[in-house]
Amino acid sequence: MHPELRAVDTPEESRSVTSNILRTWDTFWFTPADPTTLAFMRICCGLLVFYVHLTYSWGLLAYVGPEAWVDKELADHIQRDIPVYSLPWNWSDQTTQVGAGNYYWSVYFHVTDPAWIIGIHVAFVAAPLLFGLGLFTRFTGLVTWLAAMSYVQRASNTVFGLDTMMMIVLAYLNIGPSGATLSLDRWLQVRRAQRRGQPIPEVEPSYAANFAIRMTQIHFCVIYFATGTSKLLGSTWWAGTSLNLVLLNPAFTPLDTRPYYELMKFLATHRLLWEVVMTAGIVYTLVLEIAFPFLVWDRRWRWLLICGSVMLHLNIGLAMGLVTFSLMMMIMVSSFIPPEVMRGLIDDLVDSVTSLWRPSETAQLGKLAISR
Amino acid sequence: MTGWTERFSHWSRPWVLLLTGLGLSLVGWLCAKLLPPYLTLGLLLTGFGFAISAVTRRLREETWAWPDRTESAAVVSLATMTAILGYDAMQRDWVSGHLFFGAVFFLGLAGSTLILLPSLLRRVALSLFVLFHFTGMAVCVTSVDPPNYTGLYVSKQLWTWIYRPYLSFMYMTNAYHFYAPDPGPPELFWFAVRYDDDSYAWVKLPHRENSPIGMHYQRMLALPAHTFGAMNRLPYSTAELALVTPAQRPRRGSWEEIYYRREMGSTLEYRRLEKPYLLPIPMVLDMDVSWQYREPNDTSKKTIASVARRIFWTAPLPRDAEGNVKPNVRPRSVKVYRVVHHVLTPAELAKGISPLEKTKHWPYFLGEFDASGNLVDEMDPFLYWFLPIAVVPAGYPNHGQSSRPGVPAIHARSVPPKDGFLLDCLEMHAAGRRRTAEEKK
Repeated sequence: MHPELRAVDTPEESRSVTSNILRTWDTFWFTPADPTTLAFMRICCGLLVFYVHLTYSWGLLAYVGPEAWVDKELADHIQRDIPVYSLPWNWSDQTTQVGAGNYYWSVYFHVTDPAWIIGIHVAFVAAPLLFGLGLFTRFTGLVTWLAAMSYVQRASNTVFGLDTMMMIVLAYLNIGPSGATLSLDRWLQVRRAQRRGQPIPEVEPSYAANFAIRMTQIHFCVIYFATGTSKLLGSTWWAGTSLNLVLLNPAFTPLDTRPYYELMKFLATHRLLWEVVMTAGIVYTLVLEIAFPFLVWDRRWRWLLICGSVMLHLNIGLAMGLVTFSLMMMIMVSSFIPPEVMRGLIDDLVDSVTSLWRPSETAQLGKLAISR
Repeated sequence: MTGWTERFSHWSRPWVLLLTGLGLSLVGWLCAKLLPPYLTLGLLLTGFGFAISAVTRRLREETWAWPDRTESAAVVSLATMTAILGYDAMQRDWVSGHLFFGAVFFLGLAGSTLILLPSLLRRVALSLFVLFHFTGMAVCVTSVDPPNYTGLYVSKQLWTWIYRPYLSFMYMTNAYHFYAPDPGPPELFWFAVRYDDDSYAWVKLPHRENSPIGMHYQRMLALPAHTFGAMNRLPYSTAELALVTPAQRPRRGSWEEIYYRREMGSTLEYRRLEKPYLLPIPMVLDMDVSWQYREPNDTSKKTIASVARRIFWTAPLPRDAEGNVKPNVRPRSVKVYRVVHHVLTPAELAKGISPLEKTKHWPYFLGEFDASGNLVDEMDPFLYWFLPIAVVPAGYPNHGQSSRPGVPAIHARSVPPKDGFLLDCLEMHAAGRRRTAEEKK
């Protein structure tokens, strides 16, 4: 049996398999958890989404304006009129139209005045920053999700993997109490209690925090499993040439920079070296992506897999320029870090920072705000 | 109790917030026809914001004891009223608002029911939601067609009839087939902006130097891949057209007519920057025709037109050879090319071939568009065809290869002849063909 599950199991041999499964399921999904990991994800995700939204400022109207890459007329067509087809219920090949339009929604489908667009954009840039800082977290979290949705659905032909991951993480962060700790909300709560002369309230373990973390973890496993197994259909992954197509891709990789070009050329002029490096890369990618969903639940493997995943995304970020995508994937994989470990790391970090100067009232208050 | 935090705490009691939210939403709903739309929207959203704050605050104080739960459920239910008011007050064409408030209504309904349920039933309900949600993920993953087959029938039906509203609304429709089954070459968009004086200038997307930040470059890199979607078959043949209704007949005619026009296009002379200054664009003999002709699907055609229109209105100013802006010269049209940039093999890299080698670019002509995004010539012989960039024999076009008498042809993918020269049909097509005396008039 899984070591983590053994701890919650009772030694009754007579318990049926079904009741074991149900108990495991219940423990997995419905055990209160410390929201520290979720709060850490909120900070990272909020700041990253803030950056992503800020970058829309360069050419804002090209993304969401009435004459954007997808202009207003086309956007309306996609949202309301595009035909939806269904496969037949019998063995014929004839598809039938069963509806029109998509369930896409965005403020920018309707706001076309540039002044209003800019105004809304400013609010949509500010929301993730406040969310990251943890101010009025429930509200700013919702606005951040709504804002992110408004960009990705309206500027639908300029989205990439980052946007997909961003929407997943934001949705789950909105489920859990991501502002319960490591946040300005918590700081205000502590301050309020101190002013009233009441004891500092504890950060309670939360069912919703556990639920949100579990949703993120399972979704991450689905992503890895799907991307790993779908690669097994590709001949280049079997032939050992897939990474050639990735690492020599001139649009993604920094082939125009001398060091990267020279490195690739050096490898290419030594065929055995090239083949060994590429084969190792392929095996690493496939084994990690396919094994991760199964082994990450075992504490013995967890750290190795988390580090392996971080390494993979570090490489994707550096070699392919997909830095924001890689950061978002790292945020997702951080959901597997146990809250007590996360709490320890953050406490150490805070201790190191606060010891740099004489502890002041503000620093002590700050420490209280993030402590339990 | 003193200080602003205490005063704030007093005013932020759930029922005060909730009633304020309901009041604002009610005013917005009542005055929807009297007030300007933005004011109505402001009232509705502010009211909704207050209601959300009320729910948040109430759930934070929730003890999950029975009488408390009924109060919490009441707060959530009443907060849902703001969504109903918002839904009803929204103008008819604010589809996004209807979708949003509709979803909030269902969420509120589910939320208040969950609160009222006893612990065990609540867990069962949430478990069912988890199963529903992740079955949706599985549906997305498995409804994508694997190579040479169609995806799971059951997944496709589940997608169409069950999951499409939920997953589209949540933007969780990705199949997560990253770099699978095989990593593909990057696609680029190159636009030839043509001016009144018959000159042209290139706009190339993406372009690292023209992107102010990395994210902009990444988004421009995504643009061609999302804009272009090919039809899944060649156009109807003459025999197939005989079976379709007149309404279904494509304006460009049958496949045989399209192919014939393409061959006739190879008899026309196009301008070059080098000697000889006029040459025809050849047929290509060593590529399957289904790879040479890539007609976009209907939605893709509309999207390409939208992109071309934007390029037209943001076109660079025409400049002469010295770089000075030409006065009184305006853009006339935009030719759109989708360029598949094939990746070097390690062997080519070892030989020192540049990753930007011209022959590694495979351009496809997607049409010439005017200021309104309309196709200038729907019968253009090269529309949706591959334009070779290849080294051709020195004697071209009289090098002895043709697809039919008088129609020059080349082998674009074979080993290039040693004494040949580079024929850049993309540049030739962008420059345009030699106009007849009648056309010049």
